[in-house]
Amino acid sequence: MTVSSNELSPTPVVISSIGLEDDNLSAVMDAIEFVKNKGVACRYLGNDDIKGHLVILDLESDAGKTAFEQLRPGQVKLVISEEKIAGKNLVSLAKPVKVVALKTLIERICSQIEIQLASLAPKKQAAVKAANTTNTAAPASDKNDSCDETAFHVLYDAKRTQKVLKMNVNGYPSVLVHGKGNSLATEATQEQLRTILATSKDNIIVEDIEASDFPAAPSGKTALSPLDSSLWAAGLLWRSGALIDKCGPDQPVKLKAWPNFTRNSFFPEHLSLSAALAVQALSLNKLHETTKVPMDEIICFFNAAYSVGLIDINPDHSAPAVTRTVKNDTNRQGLLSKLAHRFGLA
Amino acid sequence: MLFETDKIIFTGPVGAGKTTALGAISDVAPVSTDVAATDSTKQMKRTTTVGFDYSYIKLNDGKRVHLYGTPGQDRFRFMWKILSRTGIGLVLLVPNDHEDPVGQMEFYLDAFSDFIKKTGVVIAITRSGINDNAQISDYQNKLYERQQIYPVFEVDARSSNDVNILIHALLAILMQE
Repeated sequence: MTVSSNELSPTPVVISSIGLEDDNLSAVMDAIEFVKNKGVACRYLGNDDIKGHLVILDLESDAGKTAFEQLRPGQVKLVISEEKIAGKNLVSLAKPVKVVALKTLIERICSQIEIQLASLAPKKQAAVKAANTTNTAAPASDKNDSCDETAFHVLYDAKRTQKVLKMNVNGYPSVLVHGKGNSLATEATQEQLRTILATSKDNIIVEDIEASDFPAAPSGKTALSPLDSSLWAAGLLWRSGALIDKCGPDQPVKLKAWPNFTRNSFFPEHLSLSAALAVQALSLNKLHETTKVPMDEIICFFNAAYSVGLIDINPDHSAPAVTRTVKNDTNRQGLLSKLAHRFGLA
Repeated sequence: MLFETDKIIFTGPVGAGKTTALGAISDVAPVSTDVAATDSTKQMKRTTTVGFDYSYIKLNDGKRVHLYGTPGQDRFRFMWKILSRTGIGLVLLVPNDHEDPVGQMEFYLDAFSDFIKKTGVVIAITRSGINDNAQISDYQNKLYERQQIYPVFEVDARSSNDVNILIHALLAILMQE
């Protein structure tokens, strides 16, 4: 079986900047390159433009000040200034700008814009009913019944039930999923796959296929990748504020293993969540209290980690908690804070 | 210099990429005590670290966090304790093409167990995709069995981004109350 090909690309996130000095402009270019390499579809218009979905501006420059007043409310503003400022659709970064912090911010903002664009794009296209398929997608008129489930739920079901299936999103290459073999095969580029993973379940046609139809090895344009990587990514992209499975916000949960953060996308908060859940079982509410990470982000992290089997719900309380014998030393805490700042974490 | 207080220690077996990883994030090229390998190490690489590697990261206030790479050979084990004295955390690099990489991870976790209890550890699996002798899940399962839920990441020791993530994870652990 071959995976059908289609050259349509996802709508790229358009980024522009205005009034940036050379140092900051160079950091922005680095960050955009980094985000592109992470598979986010984005395009940079230049340093004299205010037409982007995301506009990065220096509020201390004349051009930046003028542009700030002219931007539309729907445009996301990343403001670089001496002091942090607040506002709607606005993220502020204090000078001096750290490339690491900028990368993280731009990646996060682009991911959020990409999800918005992805959720709009497929709805504009007519659903294609494949002949002889078992269509588990809801008919167009029943859209509201399936809430806002996405490809994440299709992948999660495939893993849970160990099914082999094919997902079709109109205008994109097919994605073959091997639940038992924890594998995914597709001709889609990283950018296209991200869009597919954020697509509403209503716009996905799912077809059960034979295990023998799943490619045993990469061939031509078809690449194989671990299903867990896509599940993790889809889990982070599903921002409904709902928990995927039986867990409630007051049930204790603990990490079985840390996610492989060097090979999967993550936000810096996921490191503190992992560090907290690695040493003790906490309810999600308690985790929110302890780490101050927003509940929405905790839920995304939980969904992604749970779907790939990294979470124990109601773990065995007899298991001893890992304890550290570190003294609460203010000098040490000060050093760690400075080090975190140096690495763009604070 | 050995007794500086603000130190992060990079350890692991010969050929794990300690010198490379340290160089990937430090502000200056590491000062190495590499010499031509003469023992069994010669089979694996031309030079090896016999004393330690040293470099640093400069903080915004001008202070330095010192980075030390331990010598890999077991016969230099006495150096490990000296180097880790007053350190703030450990980065353990394990080459996945070692004949028993999971065993190596356990060996180093045991050797540095007192230090890890007082600080924290992150585990970097290097040289993946060359001649893999374990999957990342093998390391995770072993740690789960030992009730030690430490971060295990696949890392290219040459990549500053990968090594930065290791340090981020280490900081997240150390900053836990």
